[in-house]
Amino acid sequence: MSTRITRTALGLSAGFLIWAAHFTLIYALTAVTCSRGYIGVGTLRTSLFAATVVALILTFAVLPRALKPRSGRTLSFLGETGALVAGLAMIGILWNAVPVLFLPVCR
Amino acid sequence: MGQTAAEHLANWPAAQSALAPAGPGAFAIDRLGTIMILGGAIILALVVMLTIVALRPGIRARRIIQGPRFVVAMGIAFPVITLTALLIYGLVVTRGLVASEAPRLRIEVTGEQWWWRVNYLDADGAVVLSTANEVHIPIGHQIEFILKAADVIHSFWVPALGGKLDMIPGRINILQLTAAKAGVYRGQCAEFCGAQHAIMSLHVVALSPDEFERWWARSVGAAAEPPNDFARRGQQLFGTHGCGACHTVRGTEAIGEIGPDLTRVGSRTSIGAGLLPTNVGTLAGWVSSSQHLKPGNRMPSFDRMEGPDLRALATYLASLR
Amino acid sequence: MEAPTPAKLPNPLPRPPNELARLEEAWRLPTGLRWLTVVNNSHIGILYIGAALLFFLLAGLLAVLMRIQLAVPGNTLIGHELYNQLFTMHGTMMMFLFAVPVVEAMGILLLPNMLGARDLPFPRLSAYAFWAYFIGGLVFFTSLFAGLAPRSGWFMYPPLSSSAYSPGINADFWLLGIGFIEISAIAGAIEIIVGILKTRSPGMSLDKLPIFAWAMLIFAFMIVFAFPAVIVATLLLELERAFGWPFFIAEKGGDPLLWQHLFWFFGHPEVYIIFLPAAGMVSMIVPTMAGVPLIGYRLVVLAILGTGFLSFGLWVHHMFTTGLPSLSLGFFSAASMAVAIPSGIQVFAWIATFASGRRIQWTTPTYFVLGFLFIFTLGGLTGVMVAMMPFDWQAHDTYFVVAHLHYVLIGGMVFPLFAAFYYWAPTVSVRPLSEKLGRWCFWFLFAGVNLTFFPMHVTGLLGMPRRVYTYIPGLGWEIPNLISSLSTGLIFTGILIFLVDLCLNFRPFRENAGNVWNAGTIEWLPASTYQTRSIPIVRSREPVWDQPGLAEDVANGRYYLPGTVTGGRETLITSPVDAEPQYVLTLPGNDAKPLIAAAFTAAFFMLLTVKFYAIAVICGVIALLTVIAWMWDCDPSWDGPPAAIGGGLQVPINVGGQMGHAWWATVVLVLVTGTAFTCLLFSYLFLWLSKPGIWNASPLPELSWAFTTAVVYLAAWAALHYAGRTLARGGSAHPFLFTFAAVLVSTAAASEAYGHWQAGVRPHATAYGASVFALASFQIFLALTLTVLIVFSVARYVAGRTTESRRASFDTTALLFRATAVQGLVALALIHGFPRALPS
Repeated sequence: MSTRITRTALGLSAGFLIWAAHFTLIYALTAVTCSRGYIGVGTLRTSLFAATVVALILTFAVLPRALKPRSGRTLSFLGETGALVAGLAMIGILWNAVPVLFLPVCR
Repeated sequence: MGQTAAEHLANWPAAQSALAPAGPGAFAIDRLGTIMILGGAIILALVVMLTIVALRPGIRARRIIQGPRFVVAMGIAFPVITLTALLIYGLVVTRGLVASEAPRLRIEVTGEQWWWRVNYLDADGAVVLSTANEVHIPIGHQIEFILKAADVIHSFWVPALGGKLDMIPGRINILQLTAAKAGVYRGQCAEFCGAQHAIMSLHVVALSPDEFERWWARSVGAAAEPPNDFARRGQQLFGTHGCGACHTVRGTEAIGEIGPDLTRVGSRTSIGAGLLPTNVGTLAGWVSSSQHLKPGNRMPSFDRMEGPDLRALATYLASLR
Repeated sequence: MEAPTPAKLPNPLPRPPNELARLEEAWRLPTGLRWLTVVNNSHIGILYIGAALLFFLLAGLLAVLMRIQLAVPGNTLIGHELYNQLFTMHGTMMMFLFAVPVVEAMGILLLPNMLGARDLPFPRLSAYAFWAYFIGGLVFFTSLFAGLAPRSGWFMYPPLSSSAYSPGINADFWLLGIGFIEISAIAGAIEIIVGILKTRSPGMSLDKLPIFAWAMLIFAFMIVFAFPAVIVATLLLELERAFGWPFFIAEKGGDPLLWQHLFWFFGHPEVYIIFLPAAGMVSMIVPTMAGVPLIGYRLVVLAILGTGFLSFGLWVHHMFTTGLPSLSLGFFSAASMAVAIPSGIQVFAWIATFASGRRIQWTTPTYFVLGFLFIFTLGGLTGVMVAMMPFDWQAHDTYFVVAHLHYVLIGGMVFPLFAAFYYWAPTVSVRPLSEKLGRWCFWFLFAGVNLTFFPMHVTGLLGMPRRVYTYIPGLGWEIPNLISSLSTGLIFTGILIFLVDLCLNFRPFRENAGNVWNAGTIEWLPASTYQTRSIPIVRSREPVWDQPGLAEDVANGRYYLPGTVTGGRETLITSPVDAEPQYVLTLPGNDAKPLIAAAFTAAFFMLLTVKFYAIAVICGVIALLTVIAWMWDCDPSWDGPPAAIGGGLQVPINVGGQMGHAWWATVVLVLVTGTAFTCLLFSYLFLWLSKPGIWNASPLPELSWAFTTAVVYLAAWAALHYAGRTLARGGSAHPFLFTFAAVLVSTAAASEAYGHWQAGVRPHATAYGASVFALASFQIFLALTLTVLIVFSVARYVAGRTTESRRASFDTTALLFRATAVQGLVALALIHGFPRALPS
């Protein structure tokens, strides 16, 4: 039974987990680059965009799984909610990339 | 804080308002704030209106707001559009505020419990002029404030010129501000820093470039000689009471660095970091009962001094202009 | 599950004559002084709420004192010393002793009924949490009278709160006060998570879960992931204060910002931890008052999940003025925008629900909900304002923020809470609260809150910083401050009216007034001390509306488990996703042990704070022994046949393993310790980022030492594994292997610390040493805990209480054991690998 609830929890939160991973990654990359400078500012900007694109693709990939037809109201409810979560997560990921467009890095 | 202080505080002319901007940074933030306040008011009115409609079964418009589609439109689509616009606008404003150009002046301000140490730096970062609780700047120029903390966290904030920035032990923060018009702008520590956090103000005196040059010429160099015998006696008392262990008066034997530099203390707007306006009376009061006026600060009360001695000392201090 | 048709309810009438009497006997309340030994959640819940309200009143009175001081400029009534204690205590008590406990208490009170359970799975844990919180909170408050209250503000930034600038024990009292709420909040979170996932009525699958339960589920998970950050922060600060481990001292490589990161990683989710349950309450009240199901149930679930996750990406927006790179701040500004969406969804879902109602019931809860909508929306909008960095650079740490946070917290939480008090009072009180007094209470509070806090927006923009005990005239602050101060009287009057209403009408612990609002959810079914006579089958989100005759059938015992099978207290455990019946769980009866354990736990911490170490240790040992005595009776055996709960359904009694409630609770506990561990890893990496020089200059033990330690951890894992196998086979080697595993895991944890000490690293010398030893100490602490658990489990084995089939004490210990071993290996890899991998 525990695998079923684990799968349910993962299915519901997949979008947000990707959002969280993306958020942690871009924040950590910026912090390390600005105080240690292992990579250049240009490289940082590119990696931040790349991370965003990858995160968006991953979140999008959640949708077909979430929306595939299922038997029973409970399962389709959970699937559709998971899809909505992925949608909201995509907005969050996109918004997180907006500052990279407008702000100077490390100042 | 004693009754006397409260009375004196009553005479304070100052401007410490973010709503009365006097520099480009504060202007930009004020505009952003105004737009958000107006937008927020409109949205609040909309929500109130929708709620009223929702609660009146008679109104026909009620049918529009009954379904999940309304929730999606107002709860998701509407904020996504408005907030994206706001986010971009806010970031553009931010970019304008953090973009740095070469500053005209570099001033190191250190937050201490509970006053501000102000050092004007030269191109190499050496201190050329030391003062406290008061910063003179020329208008129309970018001024770089190098913010440090000596003990706990403080926050440097002069609302009329721009936003605040914290002073954190072990870190150096850089804030660039410009004053657009001449005037005296009050600032106050914004991060709670202990017992006398409430009494930790500073004044930024923005002068025209010419006036600033005159002020600068007046201010560098050694302290003024005591103008008369009474003040000279005050200078001796300053030495015999050990004031020089904590305070510097340039050109004299007083070279202490624990408290504020007193070389021009008589010319400063306030003593005690915004506690009292500077004059002979308040200086005497501060020397004799600083622990009563601002409990917990590091200056002991010299409450055993005789009246005439106290007056002589205060006269000397007031003559340091 | 397929529900039977109404004609074929699980149990036939008439019920056996003594069935109800036996049920009543099992759930009988103790009388007299023994009443203090009650443990069931629906009663503890009321005490919990009462205590939280007491702290609300006390903290509110402190605010009144502050407003009197600030009414006029240059006021000399209250000096800086007292004022600084007042605002610190006000903030701390409102956040930690009122807001979090009261919503948790609402959950504990309402959830059993709302889920259709006789009780949540760990009633004694709730009782323990309540008493620890109540006793600890009272002592914390009285520190004010001794002048020993903390005075560094409720977020206690070091170095102001470090021993150099806060000598004396005032700051330690803060750490103590927080310690209690940490314990009780996490205990409550465990109870709530396992309760919601495992004790729902048959048929209440996740898509039929009441919104309040969704909110409480996410609330509890947020506690699990947010509170460890503040636990770690308080531990680090106490280590610095007591032993000089310089985590926050810049000269020794520490960084004051580490505290701010840890504190706000807890502190921002905390706001939503408070708000989510309140929003959940509103989502229950609005449908009842509109007479229709909630519009956009699925969207509201999305909003709850969204709030739960996104609120963890906001913490730096409390640090916009610390001088971090603007791009880093930008990420948090963007995330702060994103979290506005879930709030928007909920606000418009409530409006849409009102719009769908044919006839709105204009009751006191309705008024409070509408007041909430207005105040919360305003607070949300100013929240968007301060999420814009430039605006925050002006508004931060001013009265604008004071206004914003009070709008959000009072609007977002206090108003829904009052709505909830008036709404749910009939489920626990013989009489509902007075509608007439309720209206008065509402209008005084609504006017008072707006008149007090709206002017503060202006005061802040006019330049008034927060936390000043006095201010000068002439800056335009006089009038708004005076309005704020005078209006406090309106709030005070409103609260007074509510108290009068409580005294006149609130009569709990007996019968209840019933479904006075014609609500649709099952907490409104007839209930008594045993909660529900029989456990209903739920077929919709509003079963009371959709299943005719449900109340009567439930009260007559026609649904599941209409009596007691074992003769004691029981509830039905169901599966977490679909809520299919799994087994009957026997529950403990009234018990004094939680109270005793809590009292001595409180004494332990308090005596430590005032430095009476010897008595403190004695109290700690008594508390521990009491807990052990209480745990001794857990995992009871049942030799009888499976329970026939009705409808031909035979379920086992007290199942262990992965279906068991203890296993689930331990999973949650492992999440807590894992998060705390992650916070320590973060501290290590953050301090490296802040002051890398020390990392390069610090000695490291030989790599072979690290490998040896890793091997010992693996050996411990193996010993545990074989201990489990011998237990399953009934082999006599089990106690030896299990004990050996304890020895090995303790050795591994100790050897890591010893290795660094041998290499010359000292925790008090640098922040590097402090962070290394903090991680090592955490592992040692877990190893010691495991040793106690293992000794306990072995003792149970020897006493015949742990067997092949009754092995919860082994299974739960093993789970924590494995997590500890994994953490140990991760820490080894980081601490020995990371510095070596760095470019020099």
